[in-house]
Amino acid sequence: MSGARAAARTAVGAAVGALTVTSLAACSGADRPMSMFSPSGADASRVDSHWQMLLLLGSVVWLVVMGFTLGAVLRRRRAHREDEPRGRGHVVVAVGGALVPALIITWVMADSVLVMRDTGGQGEDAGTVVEVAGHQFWWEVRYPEDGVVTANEIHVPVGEVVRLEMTASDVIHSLWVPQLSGKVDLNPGRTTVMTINAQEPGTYWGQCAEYCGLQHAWMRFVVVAHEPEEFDGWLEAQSLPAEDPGAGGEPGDPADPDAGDQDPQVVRGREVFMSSSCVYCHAVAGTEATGTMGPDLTHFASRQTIGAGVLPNDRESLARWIVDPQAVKPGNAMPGTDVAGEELEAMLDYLESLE
Amino acid sequence: MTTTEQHPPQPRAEAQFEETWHNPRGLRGFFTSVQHKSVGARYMVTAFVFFFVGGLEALFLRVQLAQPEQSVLSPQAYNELFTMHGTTMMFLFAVPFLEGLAAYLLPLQIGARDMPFARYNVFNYWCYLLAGIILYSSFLVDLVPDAGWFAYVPLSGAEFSDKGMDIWLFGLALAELAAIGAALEIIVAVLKMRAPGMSLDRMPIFAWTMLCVALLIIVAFVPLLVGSLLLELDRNVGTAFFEPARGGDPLLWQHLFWIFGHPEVYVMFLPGAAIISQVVPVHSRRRLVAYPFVVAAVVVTAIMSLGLWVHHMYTTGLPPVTLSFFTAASMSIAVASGVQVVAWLVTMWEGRPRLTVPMLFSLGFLFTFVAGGITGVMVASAPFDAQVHDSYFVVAHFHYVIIGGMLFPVLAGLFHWWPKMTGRMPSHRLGVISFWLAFAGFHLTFFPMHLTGMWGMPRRVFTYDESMGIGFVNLLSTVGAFVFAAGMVLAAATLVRAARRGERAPADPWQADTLEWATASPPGSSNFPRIPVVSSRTPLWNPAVPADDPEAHRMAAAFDHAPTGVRATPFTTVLGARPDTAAVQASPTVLPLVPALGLAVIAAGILVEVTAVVVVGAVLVVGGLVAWGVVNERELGQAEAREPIGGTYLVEAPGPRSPGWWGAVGAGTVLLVGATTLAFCMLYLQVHAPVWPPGRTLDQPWLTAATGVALAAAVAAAWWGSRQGRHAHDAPPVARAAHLASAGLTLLAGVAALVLLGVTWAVGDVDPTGHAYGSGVLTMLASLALAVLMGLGLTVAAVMARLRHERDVRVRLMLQNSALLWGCVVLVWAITWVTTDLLPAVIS
Amino acid sequence: MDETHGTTPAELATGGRVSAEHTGRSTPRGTRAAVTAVIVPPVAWVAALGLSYVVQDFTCTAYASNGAPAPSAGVGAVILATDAVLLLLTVAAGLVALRTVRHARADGGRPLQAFCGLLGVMLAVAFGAGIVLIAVNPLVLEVCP
Repeated sequence: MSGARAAARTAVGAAVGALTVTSLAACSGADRPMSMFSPSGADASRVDSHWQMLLLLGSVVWLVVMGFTLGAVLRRRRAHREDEPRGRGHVVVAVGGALVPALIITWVMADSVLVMRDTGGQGEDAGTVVEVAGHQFWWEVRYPEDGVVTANEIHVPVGEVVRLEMTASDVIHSLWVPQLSGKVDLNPGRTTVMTINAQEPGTYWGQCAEYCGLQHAWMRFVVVAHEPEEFDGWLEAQSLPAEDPGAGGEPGDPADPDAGDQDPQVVRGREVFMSSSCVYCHAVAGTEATGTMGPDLTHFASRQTIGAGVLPNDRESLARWIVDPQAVKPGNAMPGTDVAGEELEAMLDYLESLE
Repeated sequence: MTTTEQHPPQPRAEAQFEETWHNPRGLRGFFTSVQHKSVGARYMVTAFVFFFVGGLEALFLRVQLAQPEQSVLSPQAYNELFTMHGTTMMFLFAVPFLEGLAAYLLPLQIGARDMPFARYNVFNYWCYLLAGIILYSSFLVDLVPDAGWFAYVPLSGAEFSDKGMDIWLFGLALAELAAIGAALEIIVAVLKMRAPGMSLDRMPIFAWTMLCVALLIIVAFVPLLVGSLLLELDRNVGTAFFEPARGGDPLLWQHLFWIFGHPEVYVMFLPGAAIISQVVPVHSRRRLVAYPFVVAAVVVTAIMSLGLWVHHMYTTGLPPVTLSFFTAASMSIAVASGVQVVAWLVTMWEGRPRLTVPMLFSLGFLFTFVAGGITGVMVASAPFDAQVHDSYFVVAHFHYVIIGGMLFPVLAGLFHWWPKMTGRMPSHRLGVISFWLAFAGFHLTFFPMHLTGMWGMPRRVFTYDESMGIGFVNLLSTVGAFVFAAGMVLAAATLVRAARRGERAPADPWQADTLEWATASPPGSSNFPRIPVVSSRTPLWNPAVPADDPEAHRMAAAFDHAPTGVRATPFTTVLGARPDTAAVQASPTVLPLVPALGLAVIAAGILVEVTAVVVVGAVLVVGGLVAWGVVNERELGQAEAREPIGGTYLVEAPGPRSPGWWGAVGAGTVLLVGATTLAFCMLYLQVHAPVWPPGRTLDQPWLTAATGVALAAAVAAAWWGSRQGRHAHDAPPVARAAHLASAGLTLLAGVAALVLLGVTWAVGDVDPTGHAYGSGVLTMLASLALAVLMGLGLTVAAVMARLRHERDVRVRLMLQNSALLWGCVVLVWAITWVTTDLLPAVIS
Repeated sequence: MDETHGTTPAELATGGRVSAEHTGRSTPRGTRAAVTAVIVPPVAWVAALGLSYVVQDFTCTAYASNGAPAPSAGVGAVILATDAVLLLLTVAAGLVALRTVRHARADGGRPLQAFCGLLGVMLAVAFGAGIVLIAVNPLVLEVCP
C-alpha cells in the first residue's frame, strides 16, 4: 500500500496547492486590467458574489469527494467475495449521489435565477444610450442623441445605467468588459442590448470575446467612466466638428481670428490627408472626408489607442500604423500608404491636432 | 430437431468453422477484412494517430502563447491550428475512438461473434478515414480551415472564408455519416445480439452506455449533418438560410451546431464513465454497487444532454426565461453524474482496490472529472457564464471534462483491455510513470487556465497584451503541456512495446467479471467458438450459478463451432435475451470501400469544381452499392446460409427477428430526424423573419396530394407483396409473380412520386436564392426526393433478392423492410407539406 | 435494487424469468407496462423542455417580429399547463413502474421485470424533478420581455 500512500500524499498536495494558488491569485487580481476579481460594475459585482458562493460550495464538494476517494483507497479491510452483498451501498448512492446533489443544485439554480433577475438589465429608462457596431476588427461607438461618433472607446457616466444597443456589420463579435459586466454578442442583422453601470471612475479594458477572424486577438477597447459633469463635458467636446485650420480664408483674415493661428504644418497635413486615399474610408466631421469604412477620426487625438488596442496613441506608433498597418495588425482592412517624409510628418501633426 | 448437445463437434467441422471465420492477413486483409475486431482496431489506431497530430497542433498553440505578444506563429497559422486542433480532437479522435472501442469490445462483452452489419461497419470506417484524409489534405493545398471547430456563420460563410471551409464541411459530413452508421450498428448489437440469458438487467454498464450514446448520436448528429448541408448550400448555391437580409438567421447555425455539440460532450463522457464502471469494479474486486441507479443515471444523462444546447448561447442575447429553461436542464444533469461518482466511490469503499495502471487512471479521472463537473455547474449558471463564456475558464473547464472524463478513462481502458487485445501485458512501471507525467502535466496545463480566463483572456486569441498580467500563468500552461505530451508519448510507447515484446497474458489476467475475459487473449476471429450462456450480471465471478433457461443452453449447443459454412451468431430477444433466431454475418470483401471512396471522390469533385470527377464519384457510389447488394444476395442464397442453425434457429425470420428489419427502421429514423430538423429550421426562420414567405407559398395542393397518394401506394404495394408466399424455410417458391408485381408497382409509384416532386418544384416557381423560404422549400423537396430514392433502392434490392433466391421468405422480408422505409418516406412527405404550406398559412 | 442481480434458486424453482418473455413474439402485459413506464418519463421531459422553449421563444419572437405586444401572462399559463400535464404523465408512469416492482417481487422475484420497474421509478423521479425545475421559471421571470 505504499504506492497508495504516495498517491494520496500527492493528491492532497495537489489539492492544497491548487486552492492556495486560487486564493493568492484572487487577492492579487487588482493590478490586472481585465480581472473579474476586481469588479467595478453593478453586474460584475453581483456576479462576483455569486462566484464566491459557487467557489466555496464547489470546493467543499470536491474536497468531500476526494476525501472519500482517499479513504476508499487507503482504508484497511478484510477479504471477501466480489459479489457478496454487503452494506447498504445503494442507499448511500441514493442519498449521497442523488438527493444531496439535487439539493445543492436546487440552491445553485435558485441563486442563479435571482442573479439573472438582478443582472443583464435592458436599461429601458437609461439616461444614456450608446450604439455599438462591431466590425472586423474594431468597434464603432455612437451617441445618437448627441451626434457623437467615436471608435474603440465607450465613455460612460459613473453610477448611471448606460444602455448599449449593439449590432455587427460583418461577423459575430462579443463585447466583454470583465470588470463591469458579462458579455453579450453583437450579431449582424439584429440588435442586442446590454447595460453598463460603472461604480467608480476609471478606465476599464474590454475585448472581443467571440472569434471573429484573423485579428480577433487585437479587437480591444476601453470603457472610460467619468464623473457625470465630466462626462457631459466630454460629450459636448466630442459633438463639435473638428477644428478647421484652413477654414474662413487665409491667415490674417480679420473676419476669422482663429484662422492662421494654426500651425502651418497642421494646415499642410490637412491638405495631405484630404488629398490622400484616407478620406474614402475615414470621416472627419466638418470636412470633405466622409468615409465610413474605418473609424471616424474627428476627435482621433483624444483616444488612447490605435488599431483597437494594438498600439498606444503616440506619434511614433501612429507613423508605424499609417505607413504599414498590415505589418502591425495583418488582416485589418486598412491598406498601407506611400505617404512619407515631410508629408508624413505633416499628416501626423494634423491627426494629432484632432482633439 | 438436431442439436449437437450430446455430440462434441467433429475436428473436421471445427476446422471448417475456423476456416469460415478466417480473416485474410496483410495488405489484402487491411482492405477486405470486415470482422469487428479488425475494424475496431483500425478505428482506434487511426484515431490515435489523429490524436497525436491534434496534440502536436496544441503544442504549437501553447508555444505561441507562452509569452505575451510573441510571433512564433502568424495569426493565420494560429487560427488554422486551433481550428484543426478542435476539429481533429472532436471529430477525428474522440468520437471515432470510442466507436472503435465499442466495435471492438461490444461483441466480446455481450457474447456475439461480430457486429450486426459487418460490411456496413467497415464502410463507416472507410468514410471516417477518408474524412480525415480530406480534412488534412487542406494542408497540402494551403487551404486550411480557419473558422474554428464551431464554424459560426457568417465567419464561415462564403464572404469571409475561403475554400478551406468547404473542405471542412465535406470532411465533417463524411465523419458524421460514419458516426451515425456506427451508432446504428451499436444499437442493433446491444439490443439483439446479446448471448442467451444476458437480459437487460445483466448487461454490462458499457453496453448500456453505448446503447444510450448510440441513440444520442442518431438524434444529435443528424442535425449537424443537416446544418453542414445548409451551410454548404449557402456557400455554393447562394441559398439564404443564414443570411439575415434574405430572411435567414446566423443564429440558426448556432442552434443546429449546439443541438449536436452538447450531446457530443456526453457522447465522449458517457463511454468514458462506462469504462470506469468496468475498470473500477474489476480492480477493486467488488461488483458495481447500485447497478440500477447507474443505469438510470446513464439514461438520464443521455436524455438530458439533448436539452442543454442553449447554454452555449447564453450570451447571444436570448431572453432570460429562455436561458433559465436550459439552466434548469444543465444543472439537473449534474445530479446524474453525482450518482455515478458515488456509485464508483462506494464500490471502491466496499472492495479492495489494487493500484494497477487502469486504477490509477481511474483515480486520475475522478480527481479531474469531479473538478470539471463542478466548474460545469458554475458555467451552467447563465449570469456567471456571461462572464467566463469564451474565456480560458471555459477552455480549462472542458479540458477537465473531456481529458478527465474521456481521455483518462480511455487510457485506463487501454491498459485494462490491452492484454485482451494483444495477448500481452503492458509494463506496470512504465504505465505508472506515464500516468504521473500525464496527470501532473494535465493539471499544470489546465488548472492555471481557470485563472487566465478570470483574468480576462478570451479564447481563440493568437496573443495577448503584456499589460494583462497573464504571461506567467500562460507560461505554466505551456510547460505543463509539454509534460502532458511526454506522458502521452510514454503511454503510447509503453503500449506499443507491450504489443511487441510484452509478457504473455492469460485469458483473464485481472480476474475480471465480464464475458470478454472468458475467451482467449487475443480472441480468435470468431470470438466465441462456443457461445456463452449468461446467468448473472458478473458471469465470470459466479459461473456456478446455473442458467435459468434450458433454451439458452440449447442455443449455445446449436452454435458450438457452428454453423461451419457461413458466419453466424445468435440473435436474441430485446428484453430477456432469450434465444430467437440467428444472424448471418458477412465475410471479407473490399466492396464497402467502393461507395465510401465514391463519396470522397464526389466531395473532391465539388471542391475542384470538375463535374466529371463528381460523375465518377457518383458512379462509384451507385456501382459499389449495387455490387455490394448483388454479392450479399448471392451469399445469402447459398445453401448453408439459409438452413436453420441447429435445425431450430431461423436465419431469415420476419420483422424484428432479423437484422434487416432493424436496418430499415434505423434508416427510416435517420430520415425522420433529418426531416424534423429541416422543419425546425423552417419554423425557426419563419418566426424570426419579418416576412415569411415574401411572396406566395409553394401552394400546389393537387400536386402535393398526388405525391402523397403515390407514396402511400408504394407503401401499400410493398406491404401487400410482403404478405405473399410462405415463411417456411423449406417451402417452394409460390409467390414469384406476386412479389415481382408488388415490387414493380412500388417502383412505379416511387418513380411517379419523384416525377411529381420535380413538377411541383418547376410549377411552384419559388426562388431558392431570393429568400430563405425558397431555399427551405428547395431543400425540403430535395430531401423528400432523396428519401424516395432510398425507398427505390431498397425496393430494387428486393427485386434482386427475388431473382436470386428460390424461396419466398427472403423476398418477403425485403419487401417488408421496404414497406417500412416507404412508410417513413410518407412521414417525411407530411413533414414537408406542413412546413412548406400549412405553417406559413396558419401563422401568417 | 442490488438484489436483482443473478438468479436465485427460488427463481429456478418457480420458473423465474422463463415466463417473463417468450421468444419475442408475445410479451406479457406486465412487462409491456413496465417498458412503457420506462419510456414515458424521458419523452415527457424532452417534450416539456422542447415545448416550453418553443412556445415561449417562438411566440414571443413572432409577436415581436410583427411589432405587437406579446401576451406574456397567456404564454406563461400555456407553458405551465403543458408542463403540468407532462408532469402528471411522468408521475403516472412512476406509479405504474412502482406497481410493476411490487408485482414482480411478490411473484417470486422476476428480476428483469423488477429491474424495468425500478428503472421506471427512478426515471420518473429524476425527470419529474427536471420538469418541475423547468416549469418554475415562468413564475419567477418575465415570459416575454
